[in-house]
Amino acid sequence: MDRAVKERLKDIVGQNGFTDSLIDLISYSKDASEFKRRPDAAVWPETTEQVAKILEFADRERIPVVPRGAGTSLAGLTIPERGGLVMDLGRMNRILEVNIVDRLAVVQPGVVYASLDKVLSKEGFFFPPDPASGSVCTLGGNVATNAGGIKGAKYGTTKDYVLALEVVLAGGRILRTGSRCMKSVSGYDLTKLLVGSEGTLGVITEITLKISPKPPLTSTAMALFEDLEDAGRAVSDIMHSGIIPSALEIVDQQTLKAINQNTDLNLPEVEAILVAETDGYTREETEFQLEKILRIFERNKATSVKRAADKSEADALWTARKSAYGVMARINNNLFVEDLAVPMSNVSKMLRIIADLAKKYDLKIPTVGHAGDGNLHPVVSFDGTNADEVKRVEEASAELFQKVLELGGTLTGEHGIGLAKARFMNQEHSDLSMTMMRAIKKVFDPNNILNPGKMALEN
Amino acid sequence: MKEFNTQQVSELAGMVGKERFSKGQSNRELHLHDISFHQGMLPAGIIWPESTEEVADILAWAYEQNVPVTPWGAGTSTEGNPVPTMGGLVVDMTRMDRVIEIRPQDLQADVQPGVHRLELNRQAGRHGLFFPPDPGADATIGGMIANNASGVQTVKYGATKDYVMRLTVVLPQGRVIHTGCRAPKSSAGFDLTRIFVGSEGTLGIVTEATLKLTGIPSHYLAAIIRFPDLEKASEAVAVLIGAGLGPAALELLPPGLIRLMNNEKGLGLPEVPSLFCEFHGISEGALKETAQLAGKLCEDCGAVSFDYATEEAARKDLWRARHEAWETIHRAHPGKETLIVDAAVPISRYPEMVVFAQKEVDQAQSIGYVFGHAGDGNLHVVMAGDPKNKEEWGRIEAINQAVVEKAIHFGGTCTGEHGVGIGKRKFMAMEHGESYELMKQIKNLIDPKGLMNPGKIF
Ligand SMILES: Cc1cc2nc3c(=O)[nH]c(=O)nc-3n(C[C@H](O)[C@H](O)[C@H](O)COP(=O)(O)OP(=O)(O)OC[C@H]3O[C@@H](n4cnc5c(N)ncnc54)[C@H](O)[C@@H]3O)c2cc1C
Ligand SMILES: Cc1cc2nc3c(=O)[nH]c(=O)nc-3n(C[C@H](O)[C@H](O)[C@H](O)COP(=O)(O)OP(=O)(O)OC[C@H]3O[C@@H](n4cnc5c(N)ncnc54)[C@H](O)[C@@H]3O)c2cc1C
Repeated sequence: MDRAVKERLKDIVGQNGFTDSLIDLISYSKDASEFKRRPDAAVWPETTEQVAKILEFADRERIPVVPRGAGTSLAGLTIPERGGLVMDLGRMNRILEVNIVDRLAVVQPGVVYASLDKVLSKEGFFFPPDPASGSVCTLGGNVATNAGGIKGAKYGTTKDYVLALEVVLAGGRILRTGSRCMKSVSGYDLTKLLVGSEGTLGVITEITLKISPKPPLTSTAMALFEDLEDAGRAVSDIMHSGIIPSALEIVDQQTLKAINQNTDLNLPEVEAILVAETDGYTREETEFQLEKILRIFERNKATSVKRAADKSEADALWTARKSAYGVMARINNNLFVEDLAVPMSNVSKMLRIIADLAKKYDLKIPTVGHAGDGNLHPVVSFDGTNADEVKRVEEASAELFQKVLELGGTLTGEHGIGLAKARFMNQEHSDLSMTMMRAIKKVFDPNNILNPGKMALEN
Repeated sequence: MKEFNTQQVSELAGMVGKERFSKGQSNRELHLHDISFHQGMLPAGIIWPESTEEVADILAWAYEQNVPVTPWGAGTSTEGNPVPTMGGLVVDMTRMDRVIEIRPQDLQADVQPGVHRLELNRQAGRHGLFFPPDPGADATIGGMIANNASGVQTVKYGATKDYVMRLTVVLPQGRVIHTGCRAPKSSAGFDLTRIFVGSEGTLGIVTEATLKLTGIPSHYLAAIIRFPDLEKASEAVAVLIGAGLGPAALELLPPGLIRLMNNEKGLGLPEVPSLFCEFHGISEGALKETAQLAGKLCEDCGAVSFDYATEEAARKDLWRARHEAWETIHRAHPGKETLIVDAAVPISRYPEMVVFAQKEVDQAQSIGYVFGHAGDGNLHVVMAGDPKNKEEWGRIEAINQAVVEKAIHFGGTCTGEHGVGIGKRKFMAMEHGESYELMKQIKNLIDPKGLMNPGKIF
């Protein structure tokens, strides 16, 4: 990137809004994945107009631009694969409106999930996707990845909550999509097209989110299953029962073993643990729902069922699930949090397949997941300096995703495609679908300057 | 395109068999109108495909021959959505009417597009499941997907778009695309499914869908709340929604419409501004509690009465009457056509919108009924008049224009559920600005010859 270009960028965002210092560029060369590539410069725009000017200029000069939130992407979504410019939206971090009557919040993209949550919870409301990275990740990132979380089975994912967007396209055009109403069928749904687009179609500069009243009470229970299939059936039965748990998480045997090896929790090493949570406005309501779930656990041969009497007991029941990542990170020097989703009834089958793959490729793949919406996170820990092991990891994941797709599933339930899964895109999506996505990309970004090299949108 | 030549007729009949292609006058006339006044151009012929492959052949042929194609479901649209505007071929999907499979353990159903929603719900009901979007008409699933239809239960359960997981769509030229997956969530690439949902047949023909189903609630409670005036009733709507009571239906009905319902169905309901509402829950006790709270809130808003309709029969009567509201209005004004405003606004603006719309109708001395799916801010004004009477119809059009402009000004939309069709095209640029251009580009991308349901949305 030559000096004149940098000077022009400084003209747009000011001295304080621009950096090309090595230390900054090094931090922008990474996200929470294993990938790495340094950009040539970075900017911190503060207004939509600045974003528009940058994108107009960058488009003319054919400079790649990678929008960036907090950089917590797990699939290499924010890696500046072609160098160029990182556009950090972190300074556009104002909550513009919280409107309780209309059930919506208007925010800038750099607002951190937890900051909005704090404001909303004072009003008894929340924005439900609740990613585990919520204390740092941004709402712009959540929209661009269609983030989800532990409450997905009952409350859905980010896409279910985005009502309207302001987006700047390559070339500097500013679009407003959607409306402030709860329903609209006015033309094509551009909003939903932008949700999950991983910064490849435009830079999101304002988000109108639907918010939900947050039930103040929860009840929690945990069940042990000697047999994975029983746990799987319990999941289906629960989701079919007419009550929808606010969380339904599964922890597999490998995870329990890993936890036991690294802590003194002494968890029973059964084939699977399910943790269920129900929410509501009255104790009667949450308990009534939990009762039903307990009966389903028992009917499906849970060997032990524990129900939390209070908050601290509930926290204890969550320990197995919540300590999983921390423990796994200690097993080996590289860690790869996979992300897949299958139809609910295939959760136990999928876990069985993962266990078999681990055996076949001599790997450790403990798995946890949001069972209620079929979303599993196999955690592959390996030694990145061991070439043979790296190769086995790659082969195992190729086979894993083939199996996922055979079961009618998807390459990613919530983390996105980015660089990590670009090579599998064409296995989930036919040639025609790929052609269509690429053509849509061209409509929005004819010169391919926005987050190029992701999602297999080229060639 | 007015008529097919003999060569074309024999090619069309050859693709599906003689009995499933018609160029008979009566069949053509049956596929010229939806329920609106919008005028089309008599189609040259109707074809009834039975498989994705046949639809692919038909669209490949139409592309080669430059024949305009209009998909057709049950023809119950209100904006001219399935009305052929350039003649050509109507593809009637009602022979593809199978529920292919219900997978209760996944809460999913695979269906063909011609299945009607009541039939789907009859079959899903055997598994304790249902498909919630419930427009007043017994629409086809294909028509509902294409219009992104909703209904009285949308306030709790969402619209059709919230239930479509996978689609098979035949694009112009007969290319077959599969979108989405059977997993409950996905972040894998652009969400192509949702480009097709609500595209009103302008991008391709849906030939198969995987739908999400949900468990039938175990307990219901319906109530009618009555108010001294429309304003108080609509204020109560905003309060009830704001309080997070999660009604499964919340409908606003004006005295005039209740009068028509009483006349037609002998319901004997007091003819005052009313809210029909319903709660779904897991237990009798929980429902009672919610209803009591709702009652209290309504009382604070000036409600004069709050009556439960716990009896199943009474509840069903009520909803049937509400579902048939449009037909009732139509029958009450024989010889007139109806124009339906379908604006939606953020709920805080709902009371203002209702009052405004009612005032417009009163001032113009038009025949008009202001009601709607109040719980999600959706306002209907059904106005009756004679399109040939320039003065009378002109007043109605002016009301339509004024209400929509106000809705858009409030951050709302010109159509909450019926779609753009022919009637709402004139509002698109005003509502969407630059985004409308993008929509056109997507249309051009997928349908470069502009043959799919021409004259709609754009
Ligand atoms: C410990 C940990 C736990 C996690 N748990 C979850 C979880 O439970 N659920 C889940 O879904 N994810 C999870 N993630 C992944 C990640 O946090 C999410 O994908 C999150 O949405 C990313 O937000 P971000 O602000 O960090 O975005 P980034 O990582 O900075 O960016 C992500 C993508 O969004 C694009 N982008 C960012 N801002 C904009 C914008 N304004 N306009 C256009 N494009 C933009 C980027 O170009 C990139 O493609 C987790 C990650 C970690 C490290
Ligand atoms: C009394 C009454 C009450 C109503 N209440 C409501 C309501 O509460 N909420 C609501 O949303 N609507 C309502 N409607 C409108 C209407 O019922 C819905 O819009 C419904 O979705 C139309 O379905 P249909 O099968 O009749 O489709 P059609 O009217 O035949 O077609 C609708 C559109 O879909 C296209 N289409 C049809 N099949 C396909 C396919 N397989 N692939 C691609 N495109 C296709 C057509 O070209 C057309 O553009 C009501 C209508 C009536 C008459």
